[in-house]
Amino acid sequence: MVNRLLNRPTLLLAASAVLFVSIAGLLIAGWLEPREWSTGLEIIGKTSSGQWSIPPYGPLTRLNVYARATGQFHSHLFVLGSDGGGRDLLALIARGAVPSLLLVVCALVGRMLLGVAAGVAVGLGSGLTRGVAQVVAKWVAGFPYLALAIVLVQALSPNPTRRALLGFALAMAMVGWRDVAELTANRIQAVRVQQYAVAAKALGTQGLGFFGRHVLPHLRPALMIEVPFQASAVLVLLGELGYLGFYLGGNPIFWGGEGSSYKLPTQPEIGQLLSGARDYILREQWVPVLMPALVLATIALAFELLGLALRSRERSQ
Amino acid sequence: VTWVNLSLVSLIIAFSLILLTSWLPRLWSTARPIVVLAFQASGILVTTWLLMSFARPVPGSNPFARELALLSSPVPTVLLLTSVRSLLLMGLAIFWATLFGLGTAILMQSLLRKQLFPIGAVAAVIWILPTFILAILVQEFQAFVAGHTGLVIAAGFGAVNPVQVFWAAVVLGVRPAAYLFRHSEQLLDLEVALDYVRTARAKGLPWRKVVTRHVVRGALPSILSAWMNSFRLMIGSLPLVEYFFGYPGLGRVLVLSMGVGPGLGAQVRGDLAVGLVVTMALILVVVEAIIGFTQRRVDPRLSESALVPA
Repeated sequence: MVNRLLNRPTLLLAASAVLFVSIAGLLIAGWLEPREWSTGLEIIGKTSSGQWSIPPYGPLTRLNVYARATGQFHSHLFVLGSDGGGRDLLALIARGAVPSLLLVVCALVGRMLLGVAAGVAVGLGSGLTRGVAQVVAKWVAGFPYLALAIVLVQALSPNPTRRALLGFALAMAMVGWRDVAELTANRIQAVRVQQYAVAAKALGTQGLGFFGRHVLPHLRPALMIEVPFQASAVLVLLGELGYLGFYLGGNPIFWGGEGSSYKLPTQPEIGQLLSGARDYILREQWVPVLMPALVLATIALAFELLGLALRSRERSQ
Repeated sequence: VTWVNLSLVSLIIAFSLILLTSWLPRLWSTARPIVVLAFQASGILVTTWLLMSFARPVPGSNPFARELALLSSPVPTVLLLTSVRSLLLMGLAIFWATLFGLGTAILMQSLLRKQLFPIGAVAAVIWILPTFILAILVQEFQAFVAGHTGLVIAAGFGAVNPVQVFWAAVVLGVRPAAYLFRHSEQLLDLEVALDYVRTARAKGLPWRKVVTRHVVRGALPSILSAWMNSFRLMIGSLPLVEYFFGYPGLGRVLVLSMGVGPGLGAQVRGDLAVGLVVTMALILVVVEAIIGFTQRRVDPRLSESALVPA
């Protein structure tokens, strides 16, 4: 039954579109909220029944909250709830999604470029180039992906208080390029044995000319299918690194009493929003952890479904 | 320098074996996995050492006192201790993942799948969920049970005890189990469609015996590849799960040795980090070599293709 569902491209595409539209709507709603709700500390709130409440506030809670910076009370609806400092999670996630998605795009481009270059080296390179590319691919295959990602982030973006976008993206790109390289090399291999390819070789077409004219038209659809899967993988890696304390945003601030402080982001980024997960879990507060995690997982799922839809459509054709 | 020396030793072993097999080509099929292993080991060693020389500590970090003592121990002691812990955790996780993943796929094939089709849907959902969400959900569940009933079902943070190993192994093995199930199911489906299976049925062999004696055996080399991928997935998410549950194995100590953790004042221990990454990578590479060897034993055609020198 599941396999039958996974072979229906229209259904998968529709499900993916619904998820993308829902997330886009959520992020736009978050952006429309004033910036203060993602920066200021709302340290105490009062419900309509007059009861006092301290952050983190639950989802769909309307409160009259006290802003520390202005010293005044404001009424606010927390759609997704708040973090430990009383800041609106919807606004935080929406603003944090921008650097995170930018990072994902950079990492994705990096993965595709590295993968295609390595695949071309294996498929079309000389004996030496092919050997070097295969050895490097073997080395990368020998590393557990998360351990390699941690070491690469630390090496390529060494200032932990202000991680460089490009260094971080490159580190994430260098972890998962092997699948793209394998795909490219396999496609090149499949094309090379075709009669038209043999004829083209006999007529003198070689190297990048051969790649551009004869391989690329066959490779492009396969890469288009691979892109959403890689985007999903990069998003999950972003979440995992964020949880482990490797994120793009700047230094967090610690808010609360001695031994019970919350780690609050100063420049919202989804990875950083996940970095304080343990503090919340130990206090049995699920909202500030699960909301960013679920948003990240939903975007990853939407990409995964898109990839499945494209793959299923290609098979049916 | 020790790591670079080790890398050179690995390279020398690889080149010596290549030289030896150029005189004795018959030995190539035996020597090939060792040569690959030695090349991989040397590459992993030198790459990790090189990358770690750039690393800097994360300010605002400090592990717990118990872990601080572990971090300040000599590298071989830490590597030995954490390897044993992680191997125990991974062993348990891969055991239950194989039991559930492969076992359910075989069971579904034996029962002609009609009764157990919802398992496929569950596996598809689990496969989509990232490990960190699964870990969060498990810990939320533990906190929920403790908060509402007073019953503590979680182990102490940083502790090594059966409860800790159980929960960490559950989370670590969930996605590999789903992966193994989905791939084994597909592979068994492909095998069932082959002519020899139809012949076995036509001869009157009971279906369950056809599955267990013929179908599984025929699909075993490909199932072993799927198993290897699920193990790769598992060791990949080891740092995350160990860090989440505070289990002081290879993964958690690796994160701590990078200077990450709650509190103040940690430093990067580059030598330890290199050792931990290399140990994890070597576990992966050795398991891969063992699986490759087993595959060649199960399917002799693979051995024949390996006889041709590279």
